Amino acid sequence: MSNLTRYMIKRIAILSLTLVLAIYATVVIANMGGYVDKLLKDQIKFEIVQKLNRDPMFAVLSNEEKERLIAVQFNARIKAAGLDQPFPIRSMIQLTNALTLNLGRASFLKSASGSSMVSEIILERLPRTILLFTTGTVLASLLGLYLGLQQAKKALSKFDRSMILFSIFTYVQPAWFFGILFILLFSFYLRIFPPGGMVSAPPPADPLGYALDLLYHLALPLITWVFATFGYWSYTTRNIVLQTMSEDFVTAAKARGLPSNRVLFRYVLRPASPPIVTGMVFALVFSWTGAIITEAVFNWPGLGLLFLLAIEVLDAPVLIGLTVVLAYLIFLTVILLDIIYAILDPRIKISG
Amino acid sequence: MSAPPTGLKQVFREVLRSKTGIIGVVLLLFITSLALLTPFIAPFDIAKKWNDIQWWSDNPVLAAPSWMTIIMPDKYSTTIILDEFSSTTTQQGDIRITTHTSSFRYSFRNFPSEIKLVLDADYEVQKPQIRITLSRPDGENIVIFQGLPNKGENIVNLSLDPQSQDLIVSYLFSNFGVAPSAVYPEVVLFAVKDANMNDRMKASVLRGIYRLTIDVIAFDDRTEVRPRLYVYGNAFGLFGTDAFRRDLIVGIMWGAPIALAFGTIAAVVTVLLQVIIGAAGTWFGTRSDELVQRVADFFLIIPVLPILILVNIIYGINIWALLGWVILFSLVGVSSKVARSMVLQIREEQYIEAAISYGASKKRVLFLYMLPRMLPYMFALIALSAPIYIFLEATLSFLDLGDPNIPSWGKILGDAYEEGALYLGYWWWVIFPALMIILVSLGFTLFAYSFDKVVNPRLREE
Repeated sequence: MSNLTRYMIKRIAILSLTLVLAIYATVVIANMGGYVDKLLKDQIKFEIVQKLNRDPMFAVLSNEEKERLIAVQFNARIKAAGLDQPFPIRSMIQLTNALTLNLGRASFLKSASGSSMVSEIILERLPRTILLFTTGTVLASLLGLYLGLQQAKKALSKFDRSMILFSIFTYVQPAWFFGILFILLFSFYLRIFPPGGMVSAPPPADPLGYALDLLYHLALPLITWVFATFGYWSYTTRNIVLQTMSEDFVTAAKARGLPSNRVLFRYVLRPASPPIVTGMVFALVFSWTGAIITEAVFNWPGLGLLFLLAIEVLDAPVLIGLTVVLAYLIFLTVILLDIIYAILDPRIKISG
Repeated sequence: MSAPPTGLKQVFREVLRSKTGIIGVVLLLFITSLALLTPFIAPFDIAKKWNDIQWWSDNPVLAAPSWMTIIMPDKYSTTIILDEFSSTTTQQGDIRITTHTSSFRYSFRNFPSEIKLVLDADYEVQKPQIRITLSRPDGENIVIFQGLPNKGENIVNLSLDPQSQDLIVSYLFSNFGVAPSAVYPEVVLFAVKDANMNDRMKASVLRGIYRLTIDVIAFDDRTEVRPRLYVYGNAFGLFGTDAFRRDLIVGIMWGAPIALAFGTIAAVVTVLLQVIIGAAGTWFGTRSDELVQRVADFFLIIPVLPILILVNIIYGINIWALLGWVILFSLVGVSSKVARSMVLQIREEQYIEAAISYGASKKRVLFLYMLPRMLPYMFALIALSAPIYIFLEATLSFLDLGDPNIPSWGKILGDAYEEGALYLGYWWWVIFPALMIILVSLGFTLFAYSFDKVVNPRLREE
């Protein structure tokens, strides 16, 4: 086994354990008022009554017998679901359910296909969130990396200093905040972009028209996301590159008379890339939660808007499911970047 | 490059020497003094009434700031309130006829947004009969209300009241022979008399002196009717009003102490905790360092905002409980990483070695020799985190998950978004609270930047 694989296995093991703990924390928090139990019991009762009501034999029974039958079935189901167990065991059942993405049934919300399974509702919307925010994050990172390099080259110039200020300023503002200002400016006053949604209603029938319509709707949330996040990338890049630039080996390379671009790419960027990737971890993790409200503001029908809908109708299973899925997404993001980090950082290959 | 100053006082002096530092401090001072003044200008019981829609009913709905009447006098008008009337009374047997009259000048170039009539009535048994006529500058007399009031306050919104609308329709019908299906009393009453007088776009405003006559026929001695007329404009106050007629200045002013208190307390506590935990972890050895790193992984993976939303929905917490939860989820974070790298750097220095050599305990070295060195950095981190927490509160309030009892900037923005202010162009409802948030975060940002510039040699200007 190479050092790299050993390192990766160790990291994945640690992070998986962390994921389990994070999801367990969610389960415990959601359970503290006995809220989830009550919800599950209500759901089971509802399902039993619905099933029995469809049965013609049930309708002829007297009220007392009906009650008794419901109670018997209810208790059996409660037992089967482990709801009569003490909390530590019950929480373990819920943890397993959450980890296997067995997220239960939504209280009110339904997927476009009519399913009320939480996992289906979430899966249906996940690609749309990924489309908007991965595109946005890739664009922002490229722009930020480029600008950060330019800043490092002309460190402490007027351009550099105003970019730093811009970066810190946009770093503290959430994207949704720029979103509402941009909607007011670009879509209400200038009428350049639609104020929200993913496609027009009704959407164009031909695939090309559909794609163009999608792009048209994607533009403003994308611009907002890039605007709100590229500053952080440029700032991180600038600082790390500057730090590497002051190292002796860079000075030596310069002294040897190597062309400045070669020094930048071979001698500066290569060692600077692992810490930049670390910066990426925070930016991407940030983006998953930042997506919630940004989507809601732009009416983008992804996970964020689902979150808002679930808040409005108080659909707790969907909210808990979304929290679990977000934890998973962050977990996968961190692992992916860990792999990139390990490949980039030569020290890991040697020491493990 | 000179070495960065280490004493807090020196750092402050240097911060105040830079332009960005001064602007940042001035902005923060401005917001702080606004926050301190707020309780005197707008007492807290006004803020508590924020959610009491009845309390704001005398204000115009969705009015722009009143200074818009100066910038665009053609489009904006303020509210005219008519509450002083001269009365004459004649007795005819058992019946007493009182006539209240009053007049006002309407000189705006646009139509009122609404007209509201308030009748404070009292009587013994039989309701008095009331007829209200508006006499216009062109000599037209239009009956705008006819009816029997109840005891107490009777509020008649002429623009919405079907009976008053019928009166206007019959006026239009007798003059022009048409009975429009939708009638706008606030336009008709103040329009030059022609066939277009029910059309806000085509009609022109009739300016001049209007007189209101209220005839009250009373059947007993106790009967008394006090009228009030509101001719609403579309501009009000310094920051305008929202869809619930709330004076936005109250919410915007109260947003300042709330945002500042929440942001600074959260920032100070979390940065202190994160720095102490991060520094201690590294300082006390590999095992504790490893532990802190793993806890950092945990806090990285746990989705904080969704969990805060969940907690909020399930338990319906107030702003102080929210603060507690926020702190709980920020025990380890970015500041711990900064502290870690600083400890790695500082522990190599000679004065630490000296302290250890004369027998100072690890704890003593950490708290008396290392943490004070990090103080300036902590200030920068606090200044950088404060706006993040201010925005966290704003974000939750935007989703209507903040403390329900107090107005905050995020809540105002959330209401504006909910009511479609972005798509209908109620800019004042969005711009002013947004501007306040920007001012605060800009203040903190500039402050943090100039701090960073002093303590972080890589940013220093020569």
